[in-house]
Amino acid sequence: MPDVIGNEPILVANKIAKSFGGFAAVSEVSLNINIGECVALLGPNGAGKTTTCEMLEGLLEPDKGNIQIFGKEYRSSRKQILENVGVQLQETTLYKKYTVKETLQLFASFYPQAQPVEEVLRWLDLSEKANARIETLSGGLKQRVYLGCALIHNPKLLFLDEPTTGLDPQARRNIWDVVERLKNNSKSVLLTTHYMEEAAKLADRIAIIDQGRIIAEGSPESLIREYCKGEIINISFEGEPVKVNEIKIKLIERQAEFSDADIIENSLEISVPNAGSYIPRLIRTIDQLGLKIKSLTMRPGTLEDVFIKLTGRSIINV
Amino acid sequence: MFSKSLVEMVKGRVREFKREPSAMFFVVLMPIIWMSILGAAFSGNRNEVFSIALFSSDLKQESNNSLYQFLKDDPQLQILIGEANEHSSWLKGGKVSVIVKLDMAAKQVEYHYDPNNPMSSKARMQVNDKIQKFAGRSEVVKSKDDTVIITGSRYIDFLIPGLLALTILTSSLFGTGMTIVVNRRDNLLKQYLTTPMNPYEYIISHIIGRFIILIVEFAAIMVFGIVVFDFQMQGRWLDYILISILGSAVFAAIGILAGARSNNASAYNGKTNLIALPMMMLSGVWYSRAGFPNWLAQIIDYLPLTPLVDSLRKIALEGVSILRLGPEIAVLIVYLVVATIFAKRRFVWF
Repeated sequence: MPDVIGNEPILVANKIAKSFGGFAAVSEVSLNINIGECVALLGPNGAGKTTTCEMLEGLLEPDKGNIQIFGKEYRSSRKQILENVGVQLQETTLYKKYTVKETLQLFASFYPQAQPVEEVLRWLDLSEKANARIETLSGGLKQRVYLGCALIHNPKLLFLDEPTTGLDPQARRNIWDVVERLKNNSKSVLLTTHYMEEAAKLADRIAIIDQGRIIAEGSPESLIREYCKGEIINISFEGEPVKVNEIKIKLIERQAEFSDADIIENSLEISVPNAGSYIPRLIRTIDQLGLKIKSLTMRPGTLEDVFIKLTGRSIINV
Repeated sequence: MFSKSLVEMVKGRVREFKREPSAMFFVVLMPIIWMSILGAAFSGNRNEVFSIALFSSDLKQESNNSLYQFLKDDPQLQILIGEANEHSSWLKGGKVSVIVKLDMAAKQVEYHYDPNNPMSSKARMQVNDKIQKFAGRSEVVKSKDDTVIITGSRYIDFLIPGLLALTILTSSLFGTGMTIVVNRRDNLLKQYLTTPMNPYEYIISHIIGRFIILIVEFAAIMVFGIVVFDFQMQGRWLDYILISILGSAVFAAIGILAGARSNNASAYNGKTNLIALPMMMLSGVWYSRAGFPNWLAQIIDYLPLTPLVDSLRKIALEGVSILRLGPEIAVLIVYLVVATIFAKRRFVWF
C-alpha cells in the first residue's frame, strides 16, 4: 500500500442516477476516489448524499451510469468488492443486548479474512469496554463500535455516512481522530456529512452535492479560494431601518471590487482575496456615502460560504 | 456444514433469547403458570356444584323446612335464600342457576331457569331429582354404577398438549418476525447487505434459533407436566417431537411472512395478535371444540393451530401414530409451503 495519495482510482462512478417514483434523487453524479484519499460528499439533508452512497455501497442499483470499485462491478463481482469495502450506514442500531466483543465477533464472521477482534478493540481504544453491552454505551462509544464493525476486515475502501451526526463535540473529535488514523494507514474513505467543519478537517477533496447533483468539487482550500476569494468582510450599518440592498447597489457603483457581496441578516458580506488591504478602501467609500458603520468584522471564508455562494441557501437551514 | 457466519448468527439468536427476560417469561414461565393454575383448579375428582335460590312463602312450615334441610345436605347444591325480588337479578347475574319456588304443603314446585344455559338446565334436573326423591318417588328401573378412571382423561392431560401448541405458536410467531422487523427498523438488515455474508443465512439463523428455543419450551412444559402432574405419554415421543418441530416451522414461516416488509414493531404486534388471537380462543387449546356449531368447527379445523393441537393431543392422549395423522399434517404443510413462498416473494431487506 502506498503511503501517499495515489492517482490510481479505487472507485469510479460514472454519471450515476437514481429516481424514486419520478423523483430524481440523484442525477448524473460522477465521482472518483483514489487510493489513500478521503473524499467528502457535503450537502444539506435531502441533497442525495445517502442515495449516492447506497448506490456506491451496492445497496441500490443505479438507473443509469456505472460504478467500478477495484476495477470490478457489483453485478459480476459483488462478493469480492464487499470483502474489501467497509460500510458505516447512517442511523444503524446495533444489537443492544450484545457486548462490544460479541458484536465485533459477529461482523468478523462475515468476512473470510477478518482481523483479530482484540486488535480492533485496541486500535479503537475499546479494550476496556469489550464485555460491556451495547445498551450501556454512550452515543460516541456506540459509534466507535460501529466503526469497528466496518473496519473489522481491514477494508481498502470505507464508506462513512454521517459518522458523527448527533454526537457531542468530544465524541465527534474522537471519531475524527479515528478517520485521520485511517487516512494515515492509506485507506480510501468516502465521507458524507452536512458538517462543514468535518469535511474541511478530514477531506482531501470535497464534492458539494445539492438537489441530486455535484455542483462543485475540489480541495477545501481551492473551493474557498474559488468561490469566496479567500476572506469575508462582514459589515453592518447604523440607523433604522437599514436598507442594505440599496447600500449594496451604491457600494458596487462606487467600487466594482466589492461586487461579490451578499446580504446576510441585515448585514453585508463581501468576499475578497485579502481583507486587510480592502478594509481602508471600504471604510472610505462608506464615509463618502454618508453611512455610519455599526460593526465590521473579517474572517476566513468557509465551506458554508461556498455553499451559500453556490446555492443562495445555508447548508444548515435547508 | 455451517459457515462461521451462520454459527455466529445462531449463537446470536440464542443470546437474544437468553438476555430478553420477557422472551423467557412467555416461552418458559407462562405455560407453567397456566398449567399450575388450571391444573390445580380442575384436578381431582370433583362434582359440579350448582347454586340455587330457594324461595318459599313460609320456610318455617314443617314440610318446607324438612325439604330445605334435605337439599342442604346435598354437597352438589349450594342454596341461597332471599327475597323474591332479589332472585331474578341473581339468575340474570349468574349468581344462581335456577330459582326454586317451593310450596310443599300444596305439593307444588316451580322452576325459573334459562333452558339455553346448560348449567341452568343441569341445576334444574339435579334439584328436581332431589325433590322428587324426597317426596317419595321410587325408581322403576334398578341402576348400578360401574365407574372407570381413564388415564389421560383429566383436564390437565387435555391441557398440556394444548399449552405446548400454544407456546409454539406464540414464541415462533412473535419471536421470529418481531426480531426481523426490529432489525430492519434498526438498519441492521441493510448493514448485512453491505457485507459478503449470504443474507439468507440470516433467515436460516432464525429458523435454527427457533428450533433451539423449541427444545427449551418443549422441555419446560413436558418436564413440569410429568413431574408435577404425572402426565403420561400414550403415543411415541418421537412422533410428538416431530409434530412440534413441524408446528414451530409453520409459525416461524407465518411470522417471517408477517414481518416480511414492515419496520414498525407496533404494527407487527397488532398484525400478529390479529392472526393469533382467534386461534388462541377457538383452536381448542383450553377446551374441547365439540360444542361449536358445525359451520364454525369446519372453519376452525383449517386454522393452523387446530391441526397442531389435535395431532399433539392424539399422540399424547390416544397413542395415535404420526402415520395416521395425515389430514392434520397436510394442513400444516400447506401453511408451511404457502407462507414460505409468500415470505420469500414479499421479503425486503430495507
